[in-house]
Amino acid sequence: MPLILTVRELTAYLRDLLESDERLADLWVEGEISNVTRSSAGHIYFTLKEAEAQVSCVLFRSYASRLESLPADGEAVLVHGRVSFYEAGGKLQLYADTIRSLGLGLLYLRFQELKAALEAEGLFAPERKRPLPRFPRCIGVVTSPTGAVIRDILHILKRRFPPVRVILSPTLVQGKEAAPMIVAALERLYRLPVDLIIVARGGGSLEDLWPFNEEIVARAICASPVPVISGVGHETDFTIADFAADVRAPTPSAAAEIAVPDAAELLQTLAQRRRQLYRALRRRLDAARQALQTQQHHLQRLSPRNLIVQRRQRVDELAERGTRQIRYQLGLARERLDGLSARLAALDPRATLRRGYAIVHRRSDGVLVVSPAQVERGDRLDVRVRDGSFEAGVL
Amino acid sequence: MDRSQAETDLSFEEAYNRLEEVVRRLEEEALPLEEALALYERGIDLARHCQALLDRTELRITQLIEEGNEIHEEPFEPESGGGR
Repeated sequence: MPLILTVRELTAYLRDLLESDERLADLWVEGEISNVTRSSAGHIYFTLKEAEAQVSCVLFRSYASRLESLPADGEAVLVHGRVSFYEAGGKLQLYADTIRSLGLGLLYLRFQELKAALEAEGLFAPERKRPLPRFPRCIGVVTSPTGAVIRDILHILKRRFPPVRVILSPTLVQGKEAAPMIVAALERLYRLPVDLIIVARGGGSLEDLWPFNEEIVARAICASPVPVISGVGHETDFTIADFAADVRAPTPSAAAEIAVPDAAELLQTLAQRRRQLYRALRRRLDAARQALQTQQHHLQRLSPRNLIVQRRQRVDELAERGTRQIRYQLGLARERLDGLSARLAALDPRATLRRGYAIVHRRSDGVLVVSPAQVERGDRLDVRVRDGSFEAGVL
Repeated sequence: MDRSQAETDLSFEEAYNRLEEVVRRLEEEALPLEEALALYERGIDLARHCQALLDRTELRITQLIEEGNEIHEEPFEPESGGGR
């Protein structure tokens, strides 16, 4: 029993069928453009033809606005997009998002393929990237010996860091023979004592830059014994050589800038180093001066002259102390004398006589009579009283 | 450090590295005075040498020329005037 579908069911079925195929969701189609029309909404409709075959294509406005140039009738192109079924129009359609002219488109595909392959091989791995020398002595430059690129590079190297030596390894940078020549130019430098290599080329079309997208060039760069800076084309151009190099510079001039330090900055640094040297030496001299002073002080303390002064001072001190001591002793003696005098005065017999007592001596021998036993009848006595003395006799 | 080599023959890199070393030693090490003075003079010489290299050197440019199987270097003068 054959299947019976409504038109709508059929178109929906076809649409599902096409959209469920992954290969049709992301593909490049090669062909020639014809019947280009632009809708009032800004979408672009065209047919992609090849001999007896053709397919309808639509490029919506949002994608069309991103293209550098719009497709033109008769142009051989590669169209990228997805395939689906346009139900309202009843036809299969390629919904395009990118259009490249065939030559460029093929190159672009090759570029993507080679990049993916070399990347998978690990040639672009960040661990492979080597640091650039801080002060390169000798830079090898691989580029054309004529034209603005080499002149700009030399000009910048000369301005920034004149002590560097430059060896130009000349090569063609465009055309079919360029890639093997670039490889040979690189390899010549690998045998010389260069410590950095610049690979450079000025701006141009994708075809112009193509030699730098060749596998042999990428491999030669990866094989370099010294770091390589690539400066190919303009800032927006990326080549395989850029990925293979240790450092990608956006332009040839930028490559030269990156390659060497800036003399103006270095001169400033040098001036600073000189100041540092001077300050360090000053500190050292100050320290020495200080140490010398300390030693001088020591020396002064130990000088014999100083000793004499000290001894003299000591003598003075001792003399002073002696004098004080003597004065003190004299004072004490005087006090003692005064005390004795007072006691002596208290013992003066005359004081007793004045109170009415008498002192009696034996006349014969002058002995003081203090007891009746000392005298006999008839002894003569001398009696002293307050106002004088008289003779007396014992009865 | 090799002092027998005349320091005026040094490359910029060598001279600069030695200068940094001299500055570091003079700043960080307690050196005898005479040595410090000698080091200072040496540092100043190195700085002068570096400066002279930056100020007075003319960029030396050669070009590799291949003749048969022989490769030799020749002085290179970029042609003046525009065009690429």
